[in-house]
Amino acid sequence: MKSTTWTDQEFEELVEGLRQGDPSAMSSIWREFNPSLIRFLRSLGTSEPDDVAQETWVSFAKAAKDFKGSQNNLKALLFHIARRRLADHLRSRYRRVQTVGIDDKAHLFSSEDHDRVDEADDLEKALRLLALLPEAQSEVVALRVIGGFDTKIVAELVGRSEGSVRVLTHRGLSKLAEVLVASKKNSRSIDSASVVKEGR
Amino acid sequence: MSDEDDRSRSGEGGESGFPDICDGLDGEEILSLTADTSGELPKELGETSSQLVSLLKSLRETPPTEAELGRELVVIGAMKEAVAAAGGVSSVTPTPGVHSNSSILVHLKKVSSRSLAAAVATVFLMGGAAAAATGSLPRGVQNVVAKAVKAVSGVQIPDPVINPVKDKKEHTPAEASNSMGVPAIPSTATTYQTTTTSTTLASTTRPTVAHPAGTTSETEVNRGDSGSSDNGSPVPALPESPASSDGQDNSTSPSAPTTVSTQDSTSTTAPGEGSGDGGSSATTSTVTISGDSGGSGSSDH
Repeated sequence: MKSTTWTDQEFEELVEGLRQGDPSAMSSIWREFNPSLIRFLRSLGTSEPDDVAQETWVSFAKAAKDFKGSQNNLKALLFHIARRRLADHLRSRYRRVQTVGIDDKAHLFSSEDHDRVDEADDLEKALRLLALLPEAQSEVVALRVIGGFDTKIVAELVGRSEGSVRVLTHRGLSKLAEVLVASKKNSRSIDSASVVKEGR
Repeated sequence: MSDEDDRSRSGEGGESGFPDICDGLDGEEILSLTADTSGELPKELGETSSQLVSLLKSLRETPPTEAELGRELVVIGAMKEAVAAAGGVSSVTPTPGVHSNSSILVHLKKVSSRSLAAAVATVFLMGGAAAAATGSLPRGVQNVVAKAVKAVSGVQIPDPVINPVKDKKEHTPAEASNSMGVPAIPSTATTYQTTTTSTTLASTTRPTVAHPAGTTSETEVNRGDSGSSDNGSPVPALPESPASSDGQDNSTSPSAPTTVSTQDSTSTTAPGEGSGDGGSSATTSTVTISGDSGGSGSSDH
């Protein structure tokens, strides 16, 4: 698991700079963590991940004033705040949100699309695939894969037990595999609604 | 669904489960474990494993795109403002003379502990003083409040209105003796009771007259009149009246010493005094009573 980006000395200096409002320290941390943060938010189906990420960083800058811990702790704090800001964002847009069923999204990941996939499109496809999963499963898988957190930290982030996190991870990966298999078998759009909704 | 149920259904076995599934992103392991535990995956999943692994790897290993790093300046600026607003060290120079919210709050906290108690005490004192001044408090409570107000603010609360029940008791004989229904003058002194009696009689015919000597003479004259003609009802004799109620003869009866004393007492009292004024009127009344026996004071006048 990629857990360390900076040495301990560098990280302490960055955190101190973050407390002091140093733009260079903020930029370093932002460049390191913002891509994974954006991907995490997109994997949860957020339509405006950049806005939510910006709100997350603002809240993170306030909360980091009293931060003490390692790099993983700092990243966990960032993702924890992101979950809260995402919930606020969805709550504010609750009445405008139109739920799109799995059947409606299935065409986004067809076998034909997969055949044409290249390196640049892998990220987009993976994010779409994660967005097809139930919320709990996609969140856990995203935190494990994108965030790189271990089960214990993920359990703390999502407020579940470690066993529950393992089960959700397993089910999410299983359904991803099912979708891939189904997409290869059928040339038409994937009719995976029954498969994916089963775990909801 | 509980964790135990989830484990039993998924076949998770603790250490051999999935905690490390994503750590190494070993797609083969992921899919093999998935296939073993679910039992529902198609057999051709193995061919799909590489695709799933590559997709999962792309989530973490794809380099940041321009869209993901496009808001750097905006976000960093917002973060700086947030740090400055949160009270941390910022590059913003504080404006002299402008208090921040925290200082105001601290100031309010300091003041509130004292001012709250002072305000409560002031309210109670003002309310107590007002109540005591109007006499709406019980006697004992009123004394206590008056002392407290005087001690704190130096304001002396005057005595409330005289208790009317006591006055009624004192004037009952006079009212019984006078069928005219003349209103009684409030009085607190016991010695004033007799005085009131005489003034009452005097005011029967001339209420506005305040001259003590005249009052004496008028009193004597009226006694004779009222006793004979007013209502036809006999006027009960006053303690001193038997001598004077005998008739007109008393007006010419030797009462020179009494008259002299009346003039003396009159000269000592302030001129123009009211009939209801405190001690001086009491003195006058006393003289009147003594003159009443002599009654010639009025003849001098």
